[in-house]
Amino acid sequence: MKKPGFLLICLLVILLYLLLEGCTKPEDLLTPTHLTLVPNVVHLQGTIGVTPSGRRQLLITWEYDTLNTNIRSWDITRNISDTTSENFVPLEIIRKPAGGFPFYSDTIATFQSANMGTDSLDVYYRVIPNGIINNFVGQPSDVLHMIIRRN
Amino acid sequence: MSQIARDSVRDTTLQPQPDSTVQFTPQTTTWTERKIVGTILSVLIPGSGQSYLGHTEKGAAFTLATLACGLVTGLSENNIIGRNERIIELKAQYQIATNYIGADSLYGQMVNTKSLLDDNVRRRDIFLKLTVAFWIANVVDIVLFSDDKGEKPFGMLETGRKGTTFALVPDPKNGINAVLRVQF
Repeated sequence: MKKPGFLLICLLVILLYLLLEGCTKPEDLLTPTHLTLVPNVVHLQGTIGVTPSGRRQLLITWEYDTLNTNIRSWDITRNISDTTSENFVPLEIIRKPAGGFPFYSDTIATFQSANMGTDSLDVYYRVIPNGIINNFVGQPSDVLHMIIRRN
Repeated sequence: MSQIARDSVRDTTLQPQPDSTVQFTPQTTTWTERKIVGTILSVLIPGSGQSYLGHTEKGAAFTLATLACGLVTGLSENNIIGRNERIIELKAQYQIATNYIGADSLYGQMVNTKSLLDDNVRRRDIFLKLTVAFWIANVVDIVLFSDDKGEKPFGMLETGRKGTTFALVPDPKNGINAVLRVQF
């Protein structure tokens, strides 16, 4: 009488143990490091001015988290009258300055009123940070849209 | 002999005899050999013990329910294993990514895969619990609520029709008897 009951309980315990312990544990997500590995470009802004020699100048400035030291340079890309993101042309690599925040000055002939074929010109800039560790290319900045009007 | 007694004798003689060579009496709580065999069968394959004891519909229901839940549990477990492997692979690619856009794309895929993985885990856990519940209910049923309806011979002996019948009848002394009966 007792033997079948004992066997049943043993089987029940073994089966439950196998069912519960035999289940695969789900993998956890890792902490996303790519978001802050390289300091992001913030406060990207531009001003239109004139150089001492009289040429029209677009001055692009931006800021970054200076506490994050994993930054070596920034790639400046530009796109004239074209909103397609693939058509941003690399212009220059800006090294990390010894002090203060980086900037880029653009004075190409296209921006001069004498060379403008239309009344206005749409110019787009995007800045891409480059890190030191593993040469990691950081998050591209938002697109800065500037409108240049002919004088 | 009184009239009532004569009627009783006539009724007895005219009663149709069951068309079976095995007589049985339902047993409730005693642990007969058949009950033990049925219990062991039910522990191994849910519902089989009930069918063995004569409760075929109940046995089939237990078997189908447990197997269906077990199948869904197995499929979900299989999906979990596959998605775990996918996440491990994505993690390895993420670790060696050299740019934000690539890393962000990989991380997005990881998040999507994790979401599907969590769904699979939830589904597996639910159906695993259902499988265990059906299995336990099946064991409780075979132990407490399934009486032995007795052996039924395999064949057409209990059809009640006249004509030729054939059956395999278990015999405790001779193993199994093949019975061919022709009624006119």
